[in-house]
Amino acid sequence: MAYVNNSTWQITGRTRHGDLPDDWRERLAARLGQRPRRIGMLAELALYGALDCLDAAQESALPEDVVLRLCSLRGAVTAIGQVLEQNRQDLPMPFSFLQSQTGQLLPALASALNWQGDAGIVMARDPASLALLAAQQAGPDGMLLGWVEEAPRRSDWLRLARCDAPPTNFVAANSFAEMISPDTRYWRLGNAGMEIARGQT
Amino acid sequence: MRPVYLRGRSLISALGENLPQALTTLAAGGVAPQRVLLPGGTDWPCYTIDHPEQDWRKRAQQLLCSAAEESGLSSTRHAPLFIASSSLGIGAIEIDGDCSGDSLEFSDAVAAWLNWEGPVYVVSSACTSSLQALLMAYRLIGSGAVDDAVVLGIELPNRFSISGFAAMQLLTHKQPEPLGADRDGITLGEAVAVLRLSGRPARWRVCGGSNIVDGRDPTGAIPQTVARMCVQALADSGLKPADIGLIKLQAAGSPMNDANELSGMAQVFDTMPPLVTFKAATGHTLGASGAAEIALLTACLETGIWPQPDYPPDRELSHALAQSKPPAPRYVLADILGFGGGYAAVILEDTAAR
Repeated sequence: MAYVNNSTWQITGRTRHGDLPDDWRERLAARLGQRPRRIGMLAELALYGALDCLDAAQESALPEDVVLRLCSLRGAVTAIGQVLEQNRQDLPMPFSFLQSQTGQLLPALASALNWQGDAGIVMARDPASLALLAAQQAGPDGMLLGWVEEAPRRSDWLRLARCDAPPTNFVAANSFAEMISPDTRYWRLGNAGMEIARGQT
Repeated sequence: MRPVYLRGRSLISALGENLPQALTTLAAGGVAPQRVLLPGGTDWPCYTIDHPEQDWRKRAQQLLCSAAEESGLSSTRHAPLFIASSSLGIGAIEIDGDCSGDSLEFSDAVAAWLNWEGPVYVVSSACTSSLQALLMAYRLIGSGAVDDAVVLGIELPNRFSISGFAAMQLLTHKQPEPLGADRDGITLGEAVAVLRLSGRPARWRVCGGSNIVDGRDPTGAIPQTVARMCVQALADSGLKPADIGLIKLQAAGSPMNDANELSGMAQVFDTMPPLVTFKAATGHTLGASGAAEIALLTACLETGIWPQPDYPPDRELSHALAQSKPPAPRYVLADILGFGGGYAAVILEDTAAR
């Protein structure tokens, strides 16, 4: 597959935590001014990470034409387990079902971000291939990429904006870890895959 | 951006085990939904695929391999494969009682069944999944990154979705009546559909599309966002509203959503093009619906076979469904609206109508 997109992307924000802090839910409530209601654990995690990433990017609002892509290999596993049990007992609960639908975290996230745009849940074994796909399809406002799981708990996000004055020291990325390393500041699509460059913060 | 075409398609649904059979069934008036019994003894209508295999995985494998063969996938096994589904393998999980695996276990199995050698992506963004997948595949081919890509829409039997939609009070106890006077809810359906896209010319060209997630009203479609979806799809395709000769609606039989969808369309189309929906024929096949309905739509337009609603239309709505195939529409807009706030549209050109 030969990726073709002449844009260079600058990583303008990333989630700042290493491991999620124990009090992430309290911090999310403080950030929002209230506890999110009935959106489920996975959507809360996604929201926490996305807001942290946007804060790091110093963006108060997500531009309209951003492409938002989220990967969650296990999805809303807690709610799925609850719904399976409720169904065995013939007590299906509407909010549990909604929370079990991983796709439902997109409108929850969009609503909390007060944003309407191109968002999707896309999964693949190789996280780098998802980043490549998103970069290939992103427009002028760039992309917001998230990898979110309930167990082990993670919510890692990157905000990438189009860069008009890119550096020249690009090298091929050998791994996804290199692509998301704090030392990496720029992405560019080469014929063989993603190329990365370091740069000034 | 280079042109992208629909070079192959297939559909297995309640209408039959392939597209020709679906057309024959549709021409004969369609089928009634089956009743699916839930653990507590309640049952709900559902448009299920008639297939003798009882084992969930063996049945899934047989259906997928059959759909792959019908669409001619053997020549494109190195291409990117976009698997689009709302429920993925939840039917097997219900039977096994084991949800310790991840969402990709099902797609790994699908790739193995199809001997797939190219990259595999799973799009699981609820009802708009396969239209999103189609747009991703379209942009990948259009950019020149690949020559071919495949969208595989899959919605297989499970009680998880039926009980969930029933709990949300979105299902009807009878057959769905999209845009009908007595519509009172949707009916779910099962489908396996393949869309094989390519940079090589074919009759149907993908012109562009749009995908919007808007979470401002989780209870129903927002007319302004339906309008925005259409405007963006038209702009992406380089077209004007007057160019559209037919709209394939979401219209699933929901009292509010059907009306809101029409209201949004009316904001864009001064003269409303003819309208069609397939939800009364196949049910709402959730994440597979975009691919399933495009396969059926293009086949109907090629043959002239047309769904005939057998219920009274809602005369309070501003527009009704077309009773027959419109004469040679060149550009067709197809949309899917997802509960919670998904809006996706694709525009196709019938190059034979130029």
